[in-house]
Amino acid sequence: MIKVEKVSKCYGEFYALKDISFEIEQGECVILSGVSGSGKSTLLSLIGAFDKPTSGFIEVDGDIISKFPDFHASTYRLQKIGFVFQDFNLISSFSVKENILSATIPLNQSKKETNKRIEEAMNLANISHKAFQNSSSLSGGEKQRCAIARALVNNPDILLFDEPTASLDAKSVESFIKMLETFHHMGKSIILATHDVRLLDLKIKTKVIRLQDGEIIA
Amino acid sequence: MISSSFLNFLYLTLQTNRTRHLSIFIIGSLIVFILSSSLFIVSSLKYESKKVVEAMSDFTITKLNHRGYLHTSQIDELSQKYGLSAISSRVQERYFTTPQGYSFLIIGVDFFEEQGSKEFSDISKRGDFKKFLMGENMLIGQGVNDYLSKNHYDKYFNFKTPSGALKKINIFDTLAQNSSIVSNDMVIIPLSLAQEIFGMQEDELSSIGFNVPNDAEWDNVKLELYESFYDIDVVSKKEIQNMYDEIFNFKSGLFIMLFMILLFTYMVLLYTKYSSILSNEKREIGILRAIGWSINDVLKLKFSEMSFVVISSYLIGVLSAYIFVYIFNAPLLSSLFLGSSNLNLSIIFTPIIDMLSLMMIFLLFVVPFLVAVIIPTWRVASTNPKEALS
Repeated sequence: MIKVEKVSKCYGEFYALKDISFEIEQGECVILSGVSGSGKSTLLSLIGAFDKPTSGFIEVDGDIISKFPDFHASTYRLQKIGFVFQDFNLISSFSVKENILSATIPLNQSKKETNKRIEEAMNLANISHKAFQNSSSLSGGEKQRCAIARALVNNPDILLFDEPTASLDAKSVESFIKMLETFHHMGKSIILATHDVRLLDLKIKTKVIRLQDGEIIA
Repeated sequence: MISSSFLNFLYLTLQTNRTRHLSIFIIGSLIVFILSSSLFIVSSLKYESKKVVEAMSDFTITKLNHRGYLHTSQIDELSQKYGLSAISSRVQERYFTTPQGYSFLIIGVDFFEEQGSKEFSDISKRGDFKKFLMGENMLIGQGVNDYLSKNHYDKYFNFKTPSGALKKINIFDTLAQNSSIVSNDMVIIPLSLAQEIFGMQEDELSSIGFNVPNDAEWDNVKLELYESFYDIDVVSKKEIQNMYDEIFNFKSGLFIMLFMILLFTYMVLLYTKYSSILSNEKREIGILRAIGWSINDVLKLKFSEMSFVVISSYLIGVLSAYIFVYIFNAPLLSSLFLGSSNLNLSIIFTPIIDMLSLMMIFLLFVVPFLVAVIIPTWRVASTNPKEALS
């Protein structure tokens, strides 16, 4: 379970988030919606332990992750979180498979186990056919699938997506939505930060949290 | 613990950045090669000169400012002094060939004296002195041998005495080439022959050598000799060794200059690497941190990556310097250390590995490089991953 309790984040005098509180059950799908600058991405990065709140705390499965020292925050990102960035953040000189491999290295697994996980992740993200293609030569949709496979490879409980449909065509959005349904059925907790209205009509049960100027409005 | 996946990933990053790594490897190897070559040459020269000097008499007496000759009666006076042993007589004069003006250092030795035979048996290849003394023979240095061969004197040479008569002396053997730094222009002949070549009387000598087994008495003996003989110079083998060391140390001044230039190049290289990490690799480190790599994981990867490149360039640099100096005798570079010579000087360098200096090069080369990688990597890795990605 993810518990966000009275979380505020300010940069100087500017409040990106103000007293945000909500809870997400395991396997739940939550959409953080709102216009640009409403605080969706900031909230997502706090849940992903990329940053710490100015006040309040975030608890994940009983651990207050917002107070984790760097090493524990890294372990949390490695094992519990799968983050898909808006611009995917792939290493451009690596192939698809090598990008996915990069997420497994700190786990110190055997080569056999690593390869098995990479194959599974690529199958789930439907990118196996591009395994050896350089990531810089992929289309937007393929890059996203590569980033999703990298997020899935360590079998995390929580998947975080930052504006996942921002650079996708209609067909890719459709295929992304199908993927979300699969992850939901796998029992993953999913949090999407988006202002794309197409994602508000998912077939799976979703909770929508609307943000405006750093505050929850609905 | 390093897993096979980590090694696999390390190989991948090395491959991906191979152009940059290759340039660091080549420049690094070149720096280590030049430093190690200079080091090997100086070590070998110092070793050879030390070996030759060690075999010399503890002290050598000559006439003050080399004006005139010593007298054999002075040997008797010396032998009466307490604490002196192995007193040996010597003729040591320079013989000028004409018209080219090349010169040989002729050393006339009394081979029946123990010290005389011991000193030169070490640098002669054959060392069969009985056979040597049976005729009018000479041992010649490599440079003398080359000069005589060039002038078709393959078996003997006619020395011209002051009276104008020619003295034919047979070439018995050449002195070992690895001692050429000292013996290149030497001609070693029996004492009486040397006296004949220079028109000296039988009781005249250029120098007298002797040993003082008690090291603590060396300074006292020297003072006593100056008091007894007002017109002599006394030189200890320590002073000769110091003179050689000073020559090589002076020549290694060039080496230091070279080193400073290389160090500057190296610093530029370090700076480039530093800047490259801050700009090009910042995003890559940010991505790795965002997907769960800890600061230590990132440092481990970058440290391993650069260690592989820098250590392999160090090893290749040292190995190629070893081959260059000890197998190919350091063409071009050796002339920097040997300088100009009366006769053509060709040396075979004896392989000497100075571990302390190699360790010093390792520390001066590898440590700053790794530090220059680790510090900026740590700075980037310890910033917020989102900041590194932006």
